[in-house]
Amino acid sequence: MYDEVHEILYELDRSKGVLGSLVVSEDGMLIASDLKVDMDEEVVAALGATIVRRFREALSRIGGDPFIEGFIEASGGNLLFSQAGPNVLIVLTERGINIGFARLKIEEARRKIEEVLK
Amino acid sequence: MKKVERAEGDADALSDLCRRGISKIYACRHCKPMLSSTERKEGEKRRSKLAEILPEKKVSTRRILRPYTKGKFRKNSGMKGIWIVGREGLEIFSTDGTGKSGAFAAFLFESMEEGSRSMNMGKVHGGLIVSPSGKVYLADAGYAIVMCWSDRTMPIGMLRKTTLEIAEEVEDHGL
Repeated sequence: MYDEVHEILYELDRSKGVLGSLVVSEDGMLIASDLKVDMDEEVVAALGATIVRRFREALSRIGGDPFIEGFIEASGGNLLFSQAGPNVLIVLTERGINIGFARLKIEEARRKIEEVLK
Repeated sequence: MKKVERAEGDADALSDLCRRGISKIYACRHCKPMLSSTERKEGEKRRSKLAEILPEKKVSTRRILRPYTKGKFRKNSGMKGIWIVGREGLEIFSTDGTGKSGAFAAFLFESMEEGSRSMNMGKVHGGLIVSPSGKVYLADAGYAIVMCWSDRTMPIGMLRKTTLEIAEEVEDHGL
């Protein structure tokens, strides 16, 4: 199962501008990762889960909507988050990439991950 | 044409008004030629100098946001609300599209900045959150944060562009 998820992430990371991706459980535990950049995956997993938790908190305050996806645009790159069942898919990209295309790739990967981890 | 009583037949009085920076001098045809062209030019110079010294007239937030809140934009685009919130979480401006508070915008943006900082991603320009009922885009506008809320029909690119445009306007006008 882990290999299958890793394979999906590896495929996703082959897209132009993608620096790495991770699948994290709601509580911040790393499930699978494939990072091209030199970063501690456990740290990225924990921080990513914290950000998504805050997104959820904010959404619950304004009407109790569940979180589907989100992204942060920063000067050093983009962080994209997508809810994949009970887990979260986190993708790091370079700045200035085609976010629309990246979102399509992420959506495709998210569906596959949801299927595998069901 | 309204006549300036004091100035009637008195070139000195007219040039005095000019000197004081009064931009409009109403005078009858008879009185107007009494100001020589040199005097008029000097008056103009003084007025433009005065305009430089005086603080620029502030543009209201409502006026800046008018193109985004009025008419076709609100009706056709799916935009549900626009908020300008201070970094401390206090609302500066909001349209009453949803009745929801913009106070959480600061909290959300802070979380984004915190996350970006910890991952060494640098300064956050903006961020998006999608939920089943709509989308929220937050953008940095200097000391304030601009948040736009739309329903699911509005394309993300449009929501992002609008929010960033408003943020730029807000930052430029230093509201």
